[in-house]
Amino acid sequence: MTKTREVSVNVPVLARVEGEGALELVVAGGRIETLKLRIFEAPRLFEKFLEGRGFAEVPDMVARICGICPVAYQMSAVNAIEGILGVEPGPWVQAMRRVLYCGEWIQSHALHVHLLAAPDFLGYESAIAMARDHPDAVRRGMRLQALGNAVITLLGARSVHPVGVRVGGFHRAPPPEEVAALRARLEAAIPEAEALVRWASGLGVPDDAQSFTSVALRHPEEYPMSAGRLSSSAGHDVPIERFERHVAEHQVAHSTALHSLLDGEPYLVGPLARLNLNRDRLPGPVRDLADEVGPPLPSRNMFHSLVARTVEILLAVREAARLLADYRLPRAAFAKARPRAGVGFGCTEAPRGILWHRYELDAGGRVVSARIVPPTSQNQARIEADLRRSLEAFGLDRGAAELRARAERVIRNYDPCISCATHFLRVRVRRR
Amino acid sequence: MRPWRLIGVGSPLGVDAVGWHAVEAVRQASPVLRGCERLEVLVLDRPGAALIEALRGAELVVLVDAMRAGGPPAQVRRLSPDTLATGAFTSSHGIGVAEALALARALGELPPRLAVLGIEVGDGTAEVGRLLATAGHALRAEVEAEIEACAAALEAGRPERPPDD
Repeated sequence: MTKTREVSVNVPVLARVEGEGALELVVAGGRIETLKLRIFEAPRLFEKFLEGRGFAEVPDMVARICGICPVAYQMSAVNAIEGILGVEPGPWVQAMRRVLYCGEWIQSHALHVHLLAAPDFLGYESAIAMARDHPDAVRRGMRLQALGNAVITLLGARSVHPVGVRVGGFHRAPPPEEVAALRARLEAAIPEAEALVRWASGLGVPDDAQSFTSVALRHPEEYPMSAGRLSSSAGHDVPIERFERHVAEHQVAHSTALHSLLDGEPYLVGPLARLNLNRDRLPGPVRDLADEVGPPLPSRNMFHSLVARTVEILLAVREAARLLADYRLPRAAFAKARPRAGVGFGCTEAPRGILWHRYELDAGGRVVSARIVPPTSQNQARIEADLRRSLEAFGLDRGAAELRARAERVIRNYDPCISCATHFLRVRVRRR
Repeated sequence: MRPWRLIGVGSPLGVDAVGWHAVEAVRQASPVLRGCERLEVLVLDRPGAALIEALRGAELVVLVDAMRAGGPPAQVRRLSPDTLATGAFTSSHGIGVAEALALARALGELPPRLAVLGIEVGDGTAEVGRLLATAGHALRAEVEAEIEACAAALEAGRPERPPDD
């Protein structure tokens, strides 16, 4: 007769991830019987809110989906809508959009690395506890985050839910003196961002190689942000218009966020996936430093996501400085757009991975339908697969507190933004 | 001479803007504040951890923010930075004034004198103008008291302390 032991642990909140939710874990006979990421905030229904709205309203509306990555929502939306309307924004707008996106990567990654993830790697329960012993690292993170916010403010008028973006370009071109001042700050931050890459590369990570498919955009010349084809480590190389042929979203009973599968399999989006697929697109000095101090690429260790974020911070600081170097006021900050009917697609690299939009407009330029696939919902199935394997490898006989800490750490690698994919996390472990 | 700062925290949306409007209204209404050359008045849009930057270098900081503490709408309360509930960095969306102040304390970057003033906004349905009409007098008295106490301390010959002392 089998002896049954049942342990039930209820942990209120999974700390240091974006939003709210829960992880339910049932261990039976030494194996994981059930593992569910429960997402329980009501679906946000933004796709429905957009229906009937004029195309010009879309950039401001979608910016409200996320307080951390509003620029990503704006960029995917304007790309899709400009595709429908046949608008060519021109090189000035494209360059400034990349600068704006750099700002978002810098602030989002700096925040995650220093305030959310680093305490795991250094053995602290929170950034506040870590700050007492590592004040310089925390201060560096906050300076970089402030720099990212300043870049967003330059073009977006404010760093939270920026309002500078419009279909065709920007509402306003910043004056050259503002640009020059910010460019000087960016140049001055390059050594600091390099030091950050070295610091992050020196943090010990668990030896935890695993098998997964990386998915990211790939551009013929640049490290991908606003443009490129959909590529994967499984050999995909397809235009973004064909995203739906390969990625299927499905509902699961335990979550209000949709789960995505790539040709039936979980997949990874985000900094490590981007770096795995685009190391050769890094500018020379960034690639040299990543090669010198970072992990061999492609990496199969999810804990290298932290280093990947720091490499992308350095890339973004350098890119923004480069693109602002020859700044001149344009004749117009935007190209004019006239309504017409059609279907368009936008896919850009949000800090957390590819963010795919599809819009249908009517002849008056009003939204007939919208579909938005955020990165965190794409990573959900991958996170569950990672948790299952990581916790089994870690040892299911360990105490609930240890299991919870490891689970939280695994989840935080993905920097899940549940306010985009709805919300996150309570941990409950049951054993029998 | 280290500056004094009166900072309204909030966003453009609904009653969350009350901190912004409050600091401007208090400055307009108060001869004490208008006559104070050291005083900087600024508003911050959901600064998160960047609040720490705005504290840096100041001798005195008075923060004004919307508050939900279960009191009657427009009630002004002085909040202790030590006892503000923090979400312990549940998420970066959740880094509010309390978390930023806790981080500033850990970094040794709290200003020598700090006051946090909350304006009760109730269920959020009140209009900002109506809240200010009721809260303005009490808020002005609190801010002026802070300014005068700081000035008196300096006049009494106490040296300005660096923030880490």
